[in-house]
Amino acid sequence: MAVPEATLKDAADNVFGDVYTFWLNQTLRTRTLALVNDTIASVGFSGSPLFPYGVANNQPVLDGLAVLGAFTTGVAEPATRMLYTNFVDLCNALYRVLWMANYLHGEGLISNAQATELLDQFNAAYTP
Amino acid sequence: MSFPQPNSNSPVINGGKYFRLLTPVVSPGDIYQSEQSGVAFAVGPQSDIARYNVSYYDDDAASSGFMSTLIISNRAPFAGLLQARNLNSYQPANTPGKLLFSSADIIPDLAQSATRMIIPPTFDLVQYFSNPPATLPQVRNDKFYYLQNYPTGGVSYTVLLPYYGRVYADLLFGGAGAGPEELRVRGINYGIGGASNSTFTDIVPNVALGANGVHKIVTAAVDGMFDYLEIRISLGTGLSIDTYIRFSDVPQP
Repeated sequence: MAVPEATLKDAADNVFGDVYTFWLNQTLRTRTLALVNDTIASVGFSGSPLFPYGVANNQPVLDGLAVLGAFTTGVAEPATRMLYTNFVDLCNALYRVLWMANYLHGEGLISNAQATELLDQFNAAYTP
Repeated sequence: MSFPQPNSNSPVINGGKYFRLLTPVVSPGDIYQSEQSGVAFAVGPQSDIARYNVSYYDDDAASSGFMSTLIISNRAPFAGLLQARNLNSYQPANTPGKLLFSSADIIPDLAQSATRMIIPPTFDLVQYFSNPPATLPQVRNDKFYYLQNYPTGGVSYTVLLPYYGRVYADLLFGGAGAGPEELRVRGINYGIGGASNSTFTDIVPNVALGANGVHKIVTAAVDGMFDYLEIRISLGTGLSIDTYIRFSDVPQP
């Protein structure tokens, strides 16, 4: 279990193994916030946001990122490492976002570019 | 999850007193939103999910992105005003401060296969806009499954049924007569990330159905509580049985 993951489903199923190292070295919070911020800030070829709010099909992904981002913001990651319960909850929130995007992509409700962007951000965030 | 998502604005526009978010779950990541504030929240009568996350905008939660979350369950509804702050934004996502609903129970991969059928759980949550009942519901309806002449003989077939928060199950499997027939029932508690992170508990180990079938009562006190019940039936060619299943939130005498 290690990045780069090939699909959103793989990333979801392997989330614990992929991020565990970063919980150990106390960089999980920073990396997860980068994933959230960079995914939301991503733009398409036209220069417009890749995940604009107000588009119904995007909303579940954005709402999932909102939950993940807010939770991660509130988690302390001191020198002695994030609480294990917070680590589990973070993985849970990340797992859900990935699965939601996987489903939406499979149904053609989000584009290949959107799915690829989220997967790329996941792989980038959790590359050692 | 149906698209477009059920809309809490519609009952408000039409003078309704509540919004019932009733939809089948399609993925472990299903999440829904409401642009309307609510004064009470309860698990709906047809819900298969036992616990729900309700996330809301909280001015006192600046350190956690202005988002607070409470969990409601079939035994613990919530009576209190939660406002949809549509003009404010959760941080760092900068998305509108609507109410967000999701399952607090872990939902598994819902992919089907030729020999394995998983029943997706029903998402049923009620948001009251005004005048909630004096006593909010704390029990879901019993859930019944009747599988007639199931499965087709000559195969081993697995059915997974949502069992979140249930404390009692009555499982009746009809007799199959002569021929190879076998029954296994397991309780499953899901972890994050597939079957390897889940636990399986034998409830009915491989047993022969025989001429009179099998009748099994499952209780929380004796057998435990599970996210799903897995039922595997293996029948010989030409055989089929009737299966009657009842799940309840209420312990039975």
